[in-house]
Amino acid sequence: MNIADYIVIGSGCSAAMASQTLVEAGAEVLMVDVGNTNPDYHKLVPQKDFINIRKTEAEQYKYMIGDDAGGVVWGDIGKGAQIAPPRRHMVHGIETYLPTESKTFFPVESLGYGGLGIGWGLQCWEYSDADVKATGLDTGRMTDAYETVSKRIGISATQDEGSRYTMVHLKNFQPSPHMDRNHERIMQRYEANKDYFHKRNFTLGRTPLALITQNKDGRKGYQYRDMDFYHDNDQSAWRPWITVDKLRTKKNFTYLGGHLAVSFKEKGGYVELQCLTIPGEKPVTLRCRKLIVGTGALGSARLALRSSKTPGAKLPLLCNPYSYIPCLQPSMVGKEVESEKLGFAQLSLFLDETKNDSGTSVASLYSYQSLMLFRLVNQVPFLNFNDSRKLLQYLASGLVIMGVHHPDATTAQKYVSLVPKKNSPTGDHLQANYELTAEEKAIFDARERKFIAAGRKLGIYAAKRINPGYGASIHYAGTLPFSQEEKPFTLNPDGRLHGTKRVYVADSSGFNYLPARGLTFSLLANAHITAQKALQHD
Amino acid sequence: MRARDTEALYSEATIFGKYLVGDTPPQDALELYAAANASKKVQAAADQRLLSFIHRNPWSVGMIDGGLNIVNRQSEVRRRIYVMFSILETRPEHHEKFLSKERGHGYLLSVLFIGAFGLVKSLLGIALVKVVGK
Repeated sequence: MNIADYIVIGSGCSAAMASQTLVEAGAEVLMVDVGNTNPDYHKLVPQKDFINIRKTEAEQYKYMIGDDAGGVVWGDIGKGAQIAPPRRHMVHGIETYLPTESKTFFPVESLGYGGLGIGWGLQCWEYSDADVKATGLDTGRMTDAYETVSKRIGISATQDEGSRYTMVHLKNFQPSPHMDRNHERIMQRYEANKDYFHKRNFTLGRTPLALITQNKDGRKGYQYRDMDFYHDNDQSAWRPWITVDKLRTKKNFTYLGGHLAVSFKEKGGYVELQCLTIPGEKPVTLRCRKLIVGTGALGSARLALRSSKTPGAKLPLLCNPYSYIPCLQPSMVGKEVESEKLGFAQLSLFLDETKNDSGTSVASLYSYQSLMLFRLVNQVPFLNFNDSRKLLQYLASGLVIMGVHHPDATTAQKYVSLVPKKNSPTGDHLQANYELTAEEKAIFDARERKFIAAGRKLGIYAAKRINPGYGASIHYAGTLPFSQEEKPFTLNPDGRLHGTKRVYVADSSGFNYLPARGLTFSLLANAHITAQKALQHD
Repeated sequence: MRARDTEALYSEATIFGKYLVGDTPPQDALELYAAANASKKVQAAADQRLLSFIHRNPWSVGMIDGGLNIVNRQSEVRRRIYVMFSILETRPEHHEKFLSKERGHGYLLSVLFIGAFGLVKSLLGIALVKVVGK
């Protein structure tokens, strides 16, 4: 009987980071993953900047809108509508293999090689000590783990006023990429009106990104091509597949694609993992001494529920409420396009009403260019497409998108459960409910109004506020919360699933609270810690 | 797809192309438009009537588009124009119609005029949509 030392499920951020820790410690690791890829598109995208491509490349439509214009989404702007064709494999097959039914919650999950990290926005905020504690993690361990992760993936950041919210203890980082003209002006306005913002509990700072600006480990420093929605050719942006690709060159690491993990069972000294092959849906059993689950909070909930005696149990759910606010910077309209630009968030505006960084909301500021006008033109009211085009062409250089995230805490109205379903390959689907309380709604609404007012002082004027639906933030957590008590569907502080001896969960499932700052950096750090703990218990 | 359907889609793409960028789209743009719409039949009778009217009277497309934006934003007619818009945006020969340009302060007046005149066209378009779509 073949028994692997460790099986790691998934290839996204958590799985990649946990695997690296295990492999570097000398453990034998088998990564089990569906691993959809889309290699052909990347070969099509030339090594040119966005403007150059737009002016010269006859085949740009293939990666900008897709071979058959399949990347042109009409109507519903929810689930994955903004994902460019070269990254569509991120969501391929999820309706079939990860079905979710809900009237209130619309998550995006992934079976792609690299998981949701394929389309991650790279924001690497460190949680404050208060947030780390509220999450149920250990502050000392997390501080060390953030440092380890930063050394591995490469983070660019700036020590500025916002650093107390963005990189609390972090020491190892590269310089931030330079800001575009839009963001330079916003920063100038902030500097000139600091008192105004401080009185209203706002702080602005550069956004730390998993984007290297100097060459590192065979990856190129950022080239300002503004093609980040379409390819990873320079590998300046860290994506989980970069780490998994490197691990695949190691002798003690094996990658097994085309396998969907369905459930697990502990048997004596090992764990049995039931999988389905994809395609084909044939059952396969794999065995390991320890199982590390890194499939994301929703995927881990599915696995834990299916593997338990009470699959219909309700598990808590956390997700950052999110709105985006298209804004206009009048002083920047009618300007020529910048060829050296980046599509990632450049500034973060924090609203800390408690003044002790507890329950802070955050707005990320982006310029709008490389996603093109067609994604905006159907939002223009009253005018036909031709007149809308003329209007947007004039306004585009002054467009700034403000993406506002709020923190989330568990309530009885936020949960998932597993429900039997005929014709589903796994025999079930996830049922989700996510509703904010009236108090939460009022708080977040008031905060968004404050962000809009702060925007005006920064010289950016909101056009409208768009709520794309709960789940659209793609930040999920809390389905198997950390607990000191030995309770079903909870994790002990080391990440081990209570009721098991050999099953660890390395993703955000354990978080008891979800700060507004994007969770990815913290789940990477937690995955590293969980893998360390699993190794220590050998 | 039958040759007659393909020809109809090419003709539609040509009308939309001339409307959106003032130029006949190249053959490969017509083919992409036809491929994108081959399996998407126009279901609503009102949309079918509007499309036929546009085929016979290409001058009306801007007004009908604007009118539909006010009375029926999700119309299949608008979806088709939108598909052509995205195809043309990825054509290098039309980049000047889509990428930002340096404009003087005076251009704001032109933009205001485009907005005001565009609104008038859309209001006239509502009447056209009501009459033709009936």
